[in-house]
Amino acid sequence: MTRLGLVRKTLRDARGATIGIGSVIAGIALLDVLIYPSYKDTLQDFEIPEAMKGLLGEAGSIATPEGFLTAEFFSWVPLLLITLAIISGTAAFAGEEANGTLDLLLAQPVKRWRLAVEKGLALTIAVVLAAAASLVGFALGKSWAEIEVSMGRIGAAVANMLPISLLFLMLSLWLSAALPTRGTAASLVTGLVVVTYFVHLVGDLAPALETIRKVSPFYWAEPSLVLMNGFNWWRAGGLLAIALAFGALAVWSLERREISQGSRDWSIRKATTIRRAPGSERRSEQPGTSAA
Amino acid sequence: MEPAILTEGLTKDYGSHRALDGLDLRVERGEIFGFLGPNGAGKTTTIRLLLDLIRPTAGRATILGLDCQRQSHLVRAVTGYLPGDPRFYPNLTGRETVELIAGLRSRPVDATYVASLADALDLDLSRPVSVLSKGNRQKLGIVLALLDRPDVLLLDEPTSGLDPLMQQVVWDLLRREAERGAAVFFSSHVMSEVEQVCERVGILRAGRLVAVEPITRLKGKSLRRLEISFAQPVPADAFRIPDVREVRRHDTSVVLEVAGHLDEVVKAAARYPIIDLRTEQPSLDEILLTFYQEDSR
Repeated sequence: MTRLGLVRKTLRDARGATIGIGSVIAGIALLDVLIYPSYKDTLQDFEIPEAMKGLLGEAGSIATPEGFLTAEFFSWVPLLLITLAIISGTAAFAGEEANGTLDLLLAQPVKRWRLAVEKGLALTIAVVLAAAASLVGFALGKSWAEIEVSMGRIGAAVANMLPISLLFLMLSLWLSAALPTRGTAASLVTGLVVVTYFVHLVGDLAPALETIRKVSPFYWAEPSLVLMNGFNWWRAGGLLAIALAFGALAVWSLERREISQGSRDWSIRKATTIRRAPGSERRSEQPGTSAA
Repeated sequence: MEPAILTEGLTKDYGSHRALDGLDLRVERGEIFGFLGPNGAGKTTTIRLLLDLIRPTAGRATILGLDCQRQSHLVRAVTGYLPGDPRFYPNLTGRETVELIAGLRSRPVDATYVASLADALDLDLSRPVSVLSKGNRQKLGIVLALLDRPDVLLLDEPTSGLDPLMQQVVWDLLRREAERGAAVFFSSHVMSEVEQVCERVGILRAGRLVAVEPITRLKGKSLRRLEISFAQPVPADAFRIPDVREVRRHDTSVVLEVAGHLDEVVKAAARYPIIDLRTEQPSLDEILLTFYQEDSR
């Protein structure tokens, strides 16, 4: 058997989105580093609105390089990586099933857990590559402009974007294996991202939300702390452990999934569209399949 | 020796709907077995259960003695599958698709054999899948099903979308596979196709196996329409024979429906001067009707 053939195929399928999002992230990183020296002095007197303070994290001031990079890059760029994770993660099983190509793969002597692991591995590589593209932007920027943060700290902050992105990637994979359609899986993950991001941002303002804020994975992926103090293995490890748990759930759900031919909807669970065939007893059609 | 395919009480429910009801079937190695039935009868469900794409509600199935659920990846290693509506990755060419699937097979794939299959089917593997016609996608599906010369072939409507000449090529390929010892199990709702290649046929109706018959007996049992023109009008009771029904009578011609052999009716007709005699090949519906009527008696 060709080793890791499914990894290569999955990477090829995610190539467009990975290159696209990677290029955007690299461009933003370059731009942020280039503009910082010009804005540094102006920002000394700039008071960031109370409602936006969550974007600064623990950095305190937007005039510091840590505060600037947190607010302008690390506070929201993970959302781009998460978008890549949701697009490619939800396509992995429910998307392939809707296209009819999951049949093609699962009719071969491939164990389902192996399919899930190889797809998970490939998409992890895609997310890592897209995140790593930002390092190119930062390195180029630092070669032209002065920003008082070491490349090591920037690298740590880039690495810190990965656990949370992988958490949502694995969640997307799980829901793609567990739910009937890609749309349902994507909507649920997107909703969860929006809610947890919002809770993290506004939680800083309201003491009542302080406890709830800790439920948000964005709280544990706080980038300013990494830029100021270095990589936090405990926080990253916790998020990665949850990602692994979602990955295990994806394998478990795929093992149990009934594979339909082509697209289907929720109603497959319920055996709908009862009709009476001539000369036969009552029977129903299975939506999304052409059961002959 | 273990049969190629064995199912015992294989049952599949979708909610309250029973798609397959206690299927007991045995297909031997080297046999071409046709699985006949109208849409919704449970043919595709059976094939998908054998491949473990869906799970049975009750019963079990084995392929070459391997349990289709517990040893599903081993089953798929010896099985080639052609779905009813083959779908592929549109961003790959036919050759890239072959390479992807060959990489997932357990047995080595002989590139010369693949090229000869593509030649026989007149399939250009260098073209992107996205531009292939329905017929060419079907051909690619056939190449993939036969890729590593599997011991069992599960084919869902294999000649769907192919022209008559190409259908002949596919039938020849299937005969060759059976000659080398592979079991060929294919579903169809086209009687002429089943007649061409099958030795035995299973008839499925609303999820239940109504009959398993050698193709010769199936044809003998089936309804036939007979139109006879006589030189003069014949008596009204001329064809009062068991299993013969007079459908229409017009002046000197009579249209009859005959269940089973024609011997009695031909003898009865021969008592009068015949000008013309025409018989129509029974359609699948007519054949199924015969079996359904027997089944409901």
